[in-house]
Formats: sequence, structure tokens, C-alpha cells
Amino acid sequence: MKTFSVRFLTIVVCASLLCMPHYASAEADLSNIISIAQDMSMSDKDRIVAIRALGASGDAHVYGPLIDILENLSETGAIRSSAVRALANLGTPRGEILQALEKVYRDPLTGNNLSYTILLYLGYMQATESLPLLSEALSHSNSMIRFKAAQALGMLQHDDAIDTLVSHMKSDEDPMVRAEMVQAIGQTQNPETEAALTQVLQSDQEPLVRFNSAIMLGKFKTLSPEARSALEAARDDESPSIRAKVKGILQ
Amino acid sequence: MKRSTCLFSIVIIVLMIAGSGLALDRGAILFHTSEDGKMYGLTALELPCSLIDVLVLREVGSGHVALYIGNERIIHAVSGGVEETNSKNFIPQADLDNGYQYVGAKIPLDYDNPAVWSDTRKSQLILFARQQIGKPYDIDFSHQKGEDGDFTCVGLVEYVYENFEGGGGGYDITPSGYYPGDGTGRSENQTYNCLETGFMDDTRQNSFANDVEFSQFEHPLANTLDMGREYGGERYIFFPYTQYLQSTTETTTTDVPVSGGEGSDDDNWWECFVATAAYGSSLHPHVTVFRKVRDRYLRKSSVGRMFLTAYYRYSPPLARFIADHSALRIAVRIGLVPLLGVSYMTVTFGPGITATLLALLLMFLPLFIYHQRKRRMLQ
Repeated sequence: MKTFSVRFLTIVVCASLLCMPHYASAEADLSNIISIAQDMSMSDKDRIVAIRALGASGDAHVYGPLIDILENLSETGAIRSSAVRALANLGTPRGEILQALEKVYRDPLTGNNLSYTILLYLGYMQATESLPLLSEALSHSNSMIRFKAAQALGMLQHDDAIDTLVSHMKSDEDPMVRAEMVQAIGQTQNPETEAALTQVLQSDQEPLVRFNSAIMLGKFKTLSPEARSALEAARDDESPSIRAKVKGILQ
Repeated sequence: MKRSTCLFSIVIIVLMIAGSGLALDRGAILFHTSEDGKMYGLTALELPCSLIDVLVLREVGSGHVALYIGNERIIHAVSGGVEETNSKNFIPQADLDNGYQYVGAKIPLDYDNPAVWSDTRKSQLILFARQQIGKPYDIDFSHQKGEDGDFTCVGLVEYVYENFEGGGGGYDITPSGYYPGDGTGRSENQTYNCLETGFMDDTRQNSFANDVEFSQFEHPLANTLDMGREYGGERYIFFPYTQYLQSTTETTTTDVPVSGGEGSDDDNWWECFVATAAYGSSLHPHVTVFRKVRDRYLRKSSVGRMFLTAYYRYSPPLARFIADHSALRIAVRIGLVPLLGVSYMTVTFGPGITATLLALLLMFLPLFIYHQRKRRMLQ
């Protein structure tokens, strides 16, 4: 028994010694990547590659340096956007990452494209925790913010997100945003979304919105009699694009 | 009265129609060269082909491409990812200064025919392009057309056109094998590249993007000289140049500003608040000097970054106040003169020489004042 214990201990010690350089080297590599990511004297390209590598590392410890980069106002939009993507890719610690993304989004000094990126990646992260922020963004004065918020809400595939989109879809004045809301709603296929899309197809004034409604209804595996009837009525739509699309769907 | 009202209405309608006819259509593809007018070769429209060219010309500019979405806005893939910005930022002023040249805008064939390209279809194209905003740039050119969710500038435009209608729909702006060549290395209006592209990814490998279908070509010396990029036994070139030459698109008039901007909106709408307020424009040459100091020196030092962080946090309200008071604007402009002088010297001579000159000035100024006073006393 004693001999076995000694042997076991020896194996463990040897294995540890063999593995140590590997771990030490991995840590050194990661530290090296962090220093490149943070080094403002390096080219944007090298830094973006390093930031992306940090996001792909899966090591939760790198979230601190990434958040520092994201929150640093003297960084360029390109670098900060890369940090958003890396943090979303890293994924953990989720709470801290979402908090940082929301904080930067709410900062009045944050540029538009960085805001769009944050909204998109909240969607990719399926951040139901950020539903209040995304819902609020649907009322933003910048139509592109509303567009990206709608896109993100669609990715959540969450009942509350759908309800919010349906309620805003009726009132948003920008057809491009309404069309995106239609696409977002259509990603979740249930009787409620089908009814909302059917109503849009029947009543929206803008051909682009009706067109997208037809596309999304066409993706449903089975259609209710109301939805089918709306699609059949759309065969006489004033827009040739809608007529052609509906014809294809009904075939 | 009624007649004049009617005439006036007609004039307005005619002007509106004329105006709408002139405006660059959304969905137009914009192209520009790299510095010194290069776009994959000698000039915008010629590729190096002789052995002399191969030996002499080792540098190849790849150019850039963007999608115009109307209202003087573009969507393009740049190092920071897919962005939406003012069309003036297609060729920022700094790039213009380096010899970047606008090549032109192109639209698909029959783009003016509503039976082929209805208003809804064009809107759908823009909708799809807007969905790509925020996605990353394919910095190692491995998945240029968004296979991995990232894009190059050319790949983005191609992807948007090919996929905006979903389910295999869309419009192929660069059909595969479009330029088969004629065995001499030349086709209708194109001279094929005869030198190795020199276009490496970040690992210094001449890698090839997956499933890229930008112009496939043939040339007797293609394999010997490693022309373009080899993929699946075929040869390709896929920079804006090849996209520009496709006959699936036609040239259209550009009547919107496509150059002279300051770069990304994100990096400039908030910069140099105080100086911009004082000089009245972010394009003022003095503001440009401050911007250069920021980008070249302040951003690259820890102290500079601390200053910038504090500056961007606290200066906007101050700038707004200055902008609202003309007398204060003049006072600030005068107050900024010494700082402008130092900034100008820093940009022109570098921080080392500037610091030395300032140190000498500080050393000799008291001596100079002392001598002046002594001289007056003696007089």
C-alpha cells in the first residue's frame, strides 16, 4: 500500500512538473496577447487580432482587460467594437459583460456604430437580461438604433420581446424599421406571431413591410386559414414584388 | 393667380423629378483605389502583366468598395467591422491626401427598370445591408463573404447582393468564371495579373478565402508565376478591381459627396469639442493639427490617454457653452494660440525636438528678460 502511495505520488509530481511549463507558457502567451491588445502604439490590425484571440480564449480572466478597452474613451471605435465582439464571444462572466455593454451603450459619448454593434451582440448573446434596454431602444430617435434593437429582440425569441415588437410595429413611422420588426417577429413561429404578421400583410401602408410579412409567413410550416386567406388576397396587391412573392409562397 | 399657382406647381414637380433622376440610387456600389491611385496594379484600370512589371512592381493596392444606401450614407466593411457612415467618409481627407482616387459608382444592369428592380426590391437590398451593420471585418481574409459572420469590403457587397432575397434569390454581381481569358492572358478589357499578389493574411500566408467566387481566370503562366490565388485547382483575383470590371453592373453618375470626410463617425463626432466649438468647424485646419497630436501622440501614451478620457468626459458641456457665445469663441481661439503653436511644432518636428526647443526657450527666456531689463536700466 505504502509502495503504491509513493508511486502514485511520484507520478502526480512528475505529471505536474511536466504540465507546469505548458501552463506557464499558456499563461505567458495570454499575457502577451493581453499586452498587444492594450498597447496603443501597435497597429489597429494587430490589436484587433489580439482582442479577437482573447475573446476566443475561453479564459474568463481576460474579461477585465477587454472591458477596460471597451470603456476607454480614447480608444477608436474600431478597437472598442472589437472588444464588444470579443466579450460576447467570451460569454463569461455573463453578468459583468452585459453590465459593461449596457453601460457603454447608455454613455452619451458612445458613437453610433459602437451602439449598433452592442445592440447586435446583445441579440447574439440572447440577452433576455437586457430586455428593458432593448425595449427602450425601440423608442430611440435614431431609426438605425431602433432597427438594430428590433434585430436583437428577434434573436431573443422570447415572449416579452415579441410583445414589445408587436406593440412598436404598429406605431413606428420608419418603414425600414417596421420591416425589420416583421422579420424579427417572424423568427418565432407561433399563433401570436402569425396573427401579427397576417395583420401587417393586410393593413400596413408600406409595400416593403407587407413584402417582408409575406416572406415570414411563407416560412411557417403550416398556416392558419386567416393567414392563408391574407396571402391569397395579397395576390392582388398593388406591389408587383408582393404579388410575385405571394405567388411563389402559395405554390 | 390660379395660373401662376399651377405654373409654380409644375415647375416644382419638374424640379423634383429632375432632382430624383439625378440622385445616386441607393444600392449603388462605390469604388476607390489605394494610395497613389493603385487598385491592384499600376493604375485603376490596368494590371501589371509583363516580366518587367513583375520585377519592378512588388506593391499592389487593393482599393475599397462600399454600398450607397441613400441620403448621403454608405455601409461598408472596414477594420472596425461593418459600419454605416456619411458618404464623405468613403474616402476620408487623410486618404485623399495620400493619393487615394475615386474610381466610380456602379449599379446592376436594368437597375432603372422598375419591372426588374422595383422600389420594394431596392428597399429589401438596403434592409439586408443594414442587418449586417456591427458584424466584424474578416481581418485574415479567411471568410470574406460572411461564412463565419465576417466580411471584407468586397465580400460584404457581394454577400448583400447575392443573399438579400433569401432562399437562393439575389443578384450575382461577380459570377464565377466570368473572365475565362483567351489563352494569351487577356480578355476583352482586362490584363491579368502576372505577379504573385503579395497579399498576405496576418500570419504572412498567401491564404485563400473559402468558396470565393470573385473573378476566376485562366492564364498560361498562372501556375508558374502563382498569379492571383489558387483555390480548388482554379485561379482567382477578387479585389475591388475585379468587381468593378464585371459587366453585370454598369457605371452611374455620382452626384453625392464621396470624399473629404474625417473617417469613422464614431471617432470624430465627439472629438476636439472645444477646438471645434471655437473654430466653428471640425474641418478647420487648426482642429486638424490638434487631431493629429491626439492620434499620433496622446493616444499612444498612458498620460495622454488619461488626459483624453477626462477631456472627453468633461469637455462637451464646456464646448456647447463656448459655441453659444461668439465673444467667448474668439477668446478661446486666442487662448489656444500657444497650444496650437506647440501642437504644430510637435506634428512638424516631432515631440523630441519640440520638447528640446521648449526647454531651451524656458531656459533662455528668463536670461533674455533679465538682459532686456538690465539694458533698459543702463539706458
